[in-house]
Amino acid sequence: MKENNLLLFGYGNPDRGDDGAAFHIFAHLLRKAQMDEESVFSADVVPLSIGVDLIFNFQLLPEYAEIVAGYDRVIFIDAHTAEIEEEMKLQSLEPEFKHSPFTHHFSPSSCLAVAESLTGKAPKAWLLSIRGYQFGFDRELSPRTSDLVHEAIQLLIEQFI
Amino acid sequence: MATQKITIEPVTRIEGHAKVTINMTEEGKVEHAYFHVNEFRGFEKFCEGRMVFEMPSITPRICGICPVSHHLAAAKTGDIVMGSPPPRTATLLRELMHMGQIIQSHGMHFFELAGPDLILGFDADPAIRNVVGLIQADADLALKAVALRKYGQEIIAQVGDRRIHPTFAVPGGVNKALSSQSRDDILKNIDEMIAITQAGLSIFKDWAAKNKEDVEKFAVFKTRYLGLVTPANGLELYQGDIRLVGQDGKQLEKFDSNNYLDYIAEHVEDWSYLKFPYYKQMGYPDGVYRVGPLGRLNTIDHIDTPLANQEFMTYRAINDGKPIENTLYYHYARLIETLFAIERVKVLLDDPDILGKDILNTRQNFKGEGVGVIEAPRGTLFHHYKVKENGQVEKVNLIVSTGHNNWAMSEAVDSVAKTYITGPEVHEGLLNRVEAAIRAHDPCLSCSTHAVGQMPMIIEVRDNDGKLIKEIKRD
Repeated sequence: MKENNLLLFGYGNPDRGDDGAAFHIFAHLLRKAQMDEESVFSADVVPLSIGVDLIFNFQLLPEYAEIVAGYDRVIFIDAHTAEIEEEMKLQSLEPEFKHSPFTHHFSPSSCLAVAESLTGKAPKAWLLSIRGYQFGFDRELSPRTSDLVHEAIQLLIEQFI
Repeated sequence: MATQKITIEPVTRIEGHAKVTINMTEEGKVEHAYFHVNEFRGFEKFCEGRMVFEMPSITPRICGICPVSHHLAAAKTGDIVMGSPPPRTATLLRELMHMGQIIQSHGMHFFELAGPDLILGFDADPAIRNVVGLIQADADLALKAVALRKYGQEIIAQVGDRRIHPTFAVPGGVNKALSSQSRDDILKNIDEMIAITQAGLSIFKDWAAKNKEDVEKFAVFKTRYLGLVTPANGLELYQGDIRLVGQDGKQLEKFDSNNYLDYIAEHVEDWSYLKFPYYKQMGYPDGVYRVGPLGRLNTIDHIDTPLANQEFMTYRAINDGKPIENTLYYHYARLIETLFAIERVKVLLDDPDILGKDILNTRQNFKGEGVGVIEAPRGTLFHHYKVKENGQVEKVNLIVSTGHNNWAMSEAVDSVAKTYITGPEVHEGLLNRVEAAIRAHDPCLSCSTHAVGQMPMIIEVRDNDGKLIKEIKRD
């Protein structure tokens, strides 16, 4: 693994409107690199460029913790609801387990906590989330979230990639 | 009499979530506890107008938790609708993928969702009562648990094609044959996975022996039970007739899934958006039944693989051969099924036809209507389509696993609340037991959307005027 390598970990449902924001960010980055945007549906890890990998799935899963632990920097990318005030939010994360009362829901901080427990270290990590406005069965983004996707891409390129 | 109300509610505006309301009397006793579900009911409409051959790719979009179950149930329905039974190799490959899903889902549930309660204790500090606490308590076991789930995922990946929007199973068969390399890769880890599951069984049995009182008073109640079975009433997760047994374990019905509407109806309660399926002949609520691991093991007489059958005999002896009614035994049943699924993987991979190249039947004898049923990890899943001659889907009815267990989950919540909450102070450990009553059923409530800011949990204590007395919020 190269020094200072970066993993972009996007999750959400691309068929539930704005919940698929991370997929749309990845699709844009892959098209720009002249790669197949649907490659993230098949491969576990898609190399975007030297030192930058992509993973996309419906949800975070515990077994990704081991993969996450192998990177120096990880950015989790997701949509957020109106519970969060900002339209786009970049926050640094610390390993901390978040309890899920009923479900298989798994948070990025929990992923880091499991990574740290399993391997003794966790990467430097952030959560980049953008506001979603509609979560119906639709592969298209709402107009505002579509704009935010482009702003998020700019942020990633300028600050991380 | 003045009452107070406690609500446990994941705050979300996206469909598919649940809350628990505990109504308490002034004396601090539980009057009644309810499990309410805001089920998503738009997906059936979303499917209407699509082509039947698209359904195995579209229906996994319902849920990121068990997409394989929807994928395979849709393909099975398509087989019937199109009058295109799959070749034997395709059936073996679909079942192999399904076993991968059972192993990964059950493995995750026992070791990562239920395990912390059992190994660390219901009353353990919530800060450590989780998978991280489990790793710290027993790193070797936790690593094995991750390996078991990963093994199930690996089977799905080796057999199928894409993780998202799979195109593997189609009406009439599958699109990809299995290579001998993939078969050997899966086979080489079988013994290790059996050992991990047996370690889980030892953990559970040891816990149950030490916590007999909890096991015997935690949501123990009578229902009927429903599940797929083999022709000789053995455990079956992929295909077979549906068997419904009574409280005494005796068979009430055994029927072809295409006739499910003759036997199953759904009741509506004004406090839940999720319907309550029941056995028609007995009416509601007498005819309610349970599905999933505990329900399935109560419908069978044996298991066709040796290690799982040996464990099943021990399990069955708990209640002298009669149905097991204890909700906490869902965990035991889940591990026995995991053992079965791993053994079944070996049986499937040892079958010479598994490497066959005849994987798709392109001949069709259009029927226009069909019901595909599969045992998803959390229970029986029904897909029912009516299709026009041009292949366009006209009508869709889905009965999902969590729906069948709706009554049982609410009963479990009520029973646990009444048993354990005996005063006005509701501490975290009591609340955790109420949640554990739901978790035991492994419901799929998270739908497939997981936006940030969606899942905090609030417990509200209100008096009978609706005034908020106490609020506990979990991030």
